[in-house]
Amino acid sequence: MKALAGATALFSFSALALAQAHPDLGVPEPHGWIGTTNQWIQGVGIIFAVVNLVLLAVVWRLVRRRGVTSVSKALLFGSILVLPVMVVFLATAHGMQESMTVDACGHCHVMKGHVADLRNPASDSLAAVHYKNRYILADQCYTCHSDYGMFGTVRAKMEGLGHVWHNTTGNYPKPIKIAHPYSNTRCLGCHGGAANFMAKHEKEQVARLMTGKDSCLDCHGPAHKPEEIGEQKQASK
Amino acid sequence: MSEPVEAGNARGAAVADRGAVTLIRLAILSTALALVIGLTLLFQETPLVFTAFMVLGPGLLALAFLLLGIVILRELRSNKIL
Repeated sequence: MKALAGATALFSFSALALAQAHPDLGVPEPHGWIGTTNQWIQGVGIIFAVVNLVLLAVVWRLVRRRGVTSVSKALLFGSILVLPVMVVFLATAHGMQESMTVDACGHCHVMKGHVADLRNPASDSLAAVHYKNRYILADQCYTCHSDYGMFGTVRAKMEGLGHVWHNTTGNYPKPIKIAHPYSNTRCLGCHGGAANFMAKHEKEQVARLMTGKDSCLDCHGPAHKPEEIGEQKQASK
Repeated sequence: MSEPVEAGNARGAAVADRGAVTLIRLAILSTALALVIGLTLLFQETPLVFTAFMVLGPGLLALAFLLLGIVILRELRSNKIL
């Protein structure tokens, strides 16, 4: 009975994790929808981690009562060498995925104004226009602020580590500015070659944009109109 | 003569077993700490928790592997397999 209750509690936990879906926009789910890969990674990761912690507690008691036996050795193998590797793999995959979300970027106080502008339906900043029209379906900050390809992802993650460090230590200049000039390739990765884009830009202009001589933001900026929030608002008064 | 030798061997084995138990406990604690950070990350991801997990998680697991490896090596040597 105890095992059954434990299993029920465990599945309730994982169901809770799976239920943490993206904001409900009223769009119906496809037929047979059972959640995203990331939600499954999260749910399975939680189950493995809880099972692993229970196993560790059992081994701890076994070793204390009976010393190192063949049973405790087998359990140690599973609970220290096998399951934790799987948990670390799943947690890393989940963390990597979640660190790309707008919520993750907006977690730092300094970015809250940018995220508020992004989500403001009345804002006409470039970021807000992309967000409210769902030109980018998810992870909007990350999509526009990371380069394409594997090394773009690696570079973005490394810079993200730096952002966490600067935010934690408070060591950053105010108001914050983008670290590098914004590259046109990030815009052209989606827009370049699109019929709409080619129709609205002259050939010479396209060439200048492609070579980076002109910036997309020269005409389509500002990218953000950060709203003043909390301390920023008080400081500016 | 054989009784003191046997008693000495038993005491030595008990000390070795106690040492192994201590190392195993440390390995368990190290793994549990990595799992708790991982579980926190799985429940609620924040940049700080993710960074803490990426920095500490693999290190704590490596420490647990190392401690368990030492216990296994010691046992293999005491059984004269190595």
